[in-house]
Amino acid sequence: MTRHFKSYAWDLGVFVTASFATYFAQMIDRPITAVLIYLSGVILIAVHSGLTNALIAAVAASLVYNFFLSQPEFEFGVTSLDEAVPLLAFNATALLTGVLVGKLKDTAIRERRANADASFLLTVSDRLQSALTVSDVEGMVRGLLPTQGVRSVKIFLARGDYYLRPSTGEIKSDRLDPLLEDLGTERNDRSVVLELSGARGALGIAKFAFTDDLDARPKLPDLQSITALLALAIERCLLLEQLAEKQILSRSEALKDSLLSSISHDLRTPITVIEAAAGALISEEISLADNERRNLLRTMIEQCRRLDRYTSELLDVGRIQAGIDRSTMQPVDLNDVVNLAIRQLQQFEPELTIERKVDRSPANVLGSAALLEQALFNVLHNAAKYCSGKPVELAMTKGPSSVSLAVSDRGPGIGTSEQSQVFERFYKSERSKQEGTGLGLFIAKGFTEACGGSILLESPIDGGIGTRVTLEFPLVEPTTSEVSMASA
Amino acid sequence: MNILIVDDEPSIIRTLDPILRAAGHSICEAQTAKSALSTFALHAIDLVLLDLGLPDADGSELIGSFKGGRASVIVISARHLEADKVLALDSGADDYLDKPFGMAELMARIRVVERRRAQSDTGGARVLCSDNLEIDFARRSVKIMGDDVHLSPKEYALLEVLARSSGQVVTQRRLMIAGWNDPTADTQYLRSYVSMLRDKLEIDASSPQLILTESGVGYRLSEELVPIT
Repeated sequence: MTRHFKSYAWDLGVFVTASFATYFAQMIDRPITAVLIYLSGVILIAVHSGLTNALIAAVAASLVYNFFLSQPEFEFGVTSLDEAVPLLAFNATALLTGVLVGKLKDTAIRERRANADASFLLTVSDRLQSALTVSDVEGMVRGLLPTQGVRSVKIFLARGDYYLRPSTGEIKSDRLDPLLEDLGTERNDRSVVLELSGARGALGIAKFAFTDDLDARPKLPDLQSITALLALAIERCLLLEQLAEKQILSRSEALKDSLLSSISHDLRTPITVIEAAAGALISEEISLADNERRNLLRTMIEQCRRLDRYTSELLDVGRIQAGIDRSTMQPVDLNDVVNLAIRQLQQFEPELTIERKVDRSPANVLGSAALLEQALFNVLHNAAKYCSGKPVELAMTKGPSSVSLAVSDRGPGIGTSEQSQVFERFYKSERSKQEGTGLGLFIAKGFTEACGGSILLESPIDGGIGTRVTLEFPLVEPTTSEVSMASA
Repeated sequence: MNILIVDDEPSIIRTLDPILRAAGHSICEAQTAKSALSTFALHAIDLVLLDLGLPDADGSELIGSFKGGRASVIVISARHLEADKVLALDSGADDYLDKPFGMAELMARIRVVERRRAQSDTGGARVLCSDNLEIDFARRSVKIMGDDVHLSPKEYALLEVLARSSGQVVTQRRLMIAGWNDPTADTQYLRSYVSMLRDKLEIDASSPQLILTESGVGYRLSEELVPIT
C-alpha cells in the first residue's frame, strides 16, 4: 500500500516539476525546450512506473500544455495552425514514448517478478527436500512464506473420512471443518484452500492464510506451484514412511522365523532325546546292556537340565523385553558377583581354568545381584565355549568413577562382520558347533544395560586371536546400612 | 541294516546310536551335510535318518545323492513345516518323522523300510495283502476282509499308489499324478476321491483307520501290505 503511494507521489512530483519547468521555458520564449522538458517528464514516469502511469502522465501533460501553456491560455483548443502542429506533435510523441518506455518497464518488472518467483520456489523445493516425515513438511515452509504475503499454512491429509494435520496430530472429523473454521470472521476472505494431489490421487488440502497487506497477497498460480511442491514432498515422505514400515515388518518376520527355529530346535531336541531314551528303556524289543541303560538315564537328566536352562533363558528374554524396573536396584559389590558367577560356571565347565585378576577391594554398582551374576555368567559361559580349551581370563579394573569386568579368551576370535550381530537375539555363529540357543549374549547385554552398564566386544585381541567382552558400570557408594552390616 | 544318522545335535546321535545298535543295526553318524556325503560315499548305507536343519546345508538337498546311492531316506524334522516335508518327500525321501518321536514309531518306520528293501521291488508283485486288505494288480480286484469291493478307475489308481508305498506317506502330488496326470489339479478332487475310498474300505469312514491323512502333506495307508508269492 505505502509502496504504491510513494510511487504515485514520485510520479506526481516529476509531473509538477516538469510542468513548472515547461512554464518557465515558455515564459522565456523557449517553446521547443518547453516541449522537450514535458516529454522528458513523461519518459521519466514511464521508466519509473510503467505503462499505465506513463499514459496518464502523457494525457495530463497534453491537457495542461494545451490549457495553460499554448495559445489561447486558460482554455482548450488552438488559435492558429502554427499552434496546432506543435501541440499535435507533442501529443503524439508523448503518447508514443510513454507507451514504448512503459511497455519496456512492464516487461522488466514482470521478468524480475518471475525470477523472484522461480528462485522462491527453488528455495521452497530445496527446503522440502530435507523433510523426512510428513509432519516435517509444514514446518519446513513456515519460515519462508511470510515473504510471500502468507501468514500461515496448514496441511491436512485425507485419512478415510477425516482430515489429519500431521504437524500437530490435530484431527478434523468433519472434512468441511478446515474450510469453514474462519467462516463469519473477518479473516474469512483472507485464506485460500488448495487440494494437494499426488501421483496416486488426492492427498489432502493445504490452507494458506494471508497477511493483512492486501498488495502483498500471492497470486493463485504461485500458490498452486507451492501446493504442487508440498504435495510432492508429502508423497515422498509417505513413501519413505511406508518403506520404513515394511522394513520393520520384515525385520519382525525374520525375528519370528528365528524364534520358530530356535524353539523348534532348542526345545524339541531335548524332548526328542528324552522321549527316544525313555522309549528305548521301556521297550521290550530293545535289550540294552546295563551301562547303556545308565547312559541313557544320564542323558535324560542332562537334557532335562538343558530344557530348564532354555526355559529360563526365554523367561529372561521376556523380562528384558518387558523392561526391567530399576527402582528396586541396590548397591551390589561386583566381587560377590564374580564369585557367584564363577561358582555357577564351574558346575557346567569343571575342566575350565579361569585366571582371575581381581584386587578384591569393594566395587559397588547399582543393580540387582541376580541380573549381574547372570550377565557375567553368560559372558563367561560364552568364552568357555570358544576358548579352544585354553584358560579364560577375568579382570576387574576400577577407575575413578567406573568399574569394568573384562572376560578374555584365547580362542579363534570373532570376525568383524559377526561382531555387530553377537548381541542379537537367537544369533548363533556359523562356525559354532556348540549347542546353544543364541540368547546368552543378548541376555548379558540386556541385564548389563538394565543395571546402568554397557557391554563391548573386541576381537581379535592378541596376535590375531582371542575375544574380549567388557562389562562396564558406574561406581556408587554403598548405602550406610550395608556399610554397617559389612563392618559388623 | 547300515544306518547313517545325520543330525547336528550330538545328544540325538548319542541317544539313537546305542538304541539302534541294540536293535541289531550298524550305525554311522554325521553332524554336517559335508561329512554326511563323505561318510555315505565310504560305507554301504541302507537307510539315512536325515535331520533337515543342518548347519551347512538344507538336508533336503542331500536326498538326491542318497537315493542315487540306492539308500532309503527317513526325514526327521524339528520345524514341523509342511512345505519342508513335501519338498523332502518330492525330492525322493521315503518317509518323515516329526521331532519328538516315540521310539516305537521310529522302529516301525525303520521296519517298513527294511521289509520294502528285502522285497526289493513290490512294483512287480501281482498280489499284495494284509490281514484285512488284498489287492490283485493283475485282475485289478480289491478285497476287504474277504469281500470284493468295486472301485472306480480313479479310486483304484489312488489305492494302488498308496498300496505300493503302504506304511509310508504318499504326497498329494504323487496321488494327483496317479489320478489326474496333473500335479496341479485341485486338491478338492483328491479329497473327494479319498473320502469315497474311505466309504468303501473303512469300517467307520468318519474315523479312518486304514487311509490316514498326513495334514498338508498327503496320505498314508496304515496297514503294511506284503506280496503273496
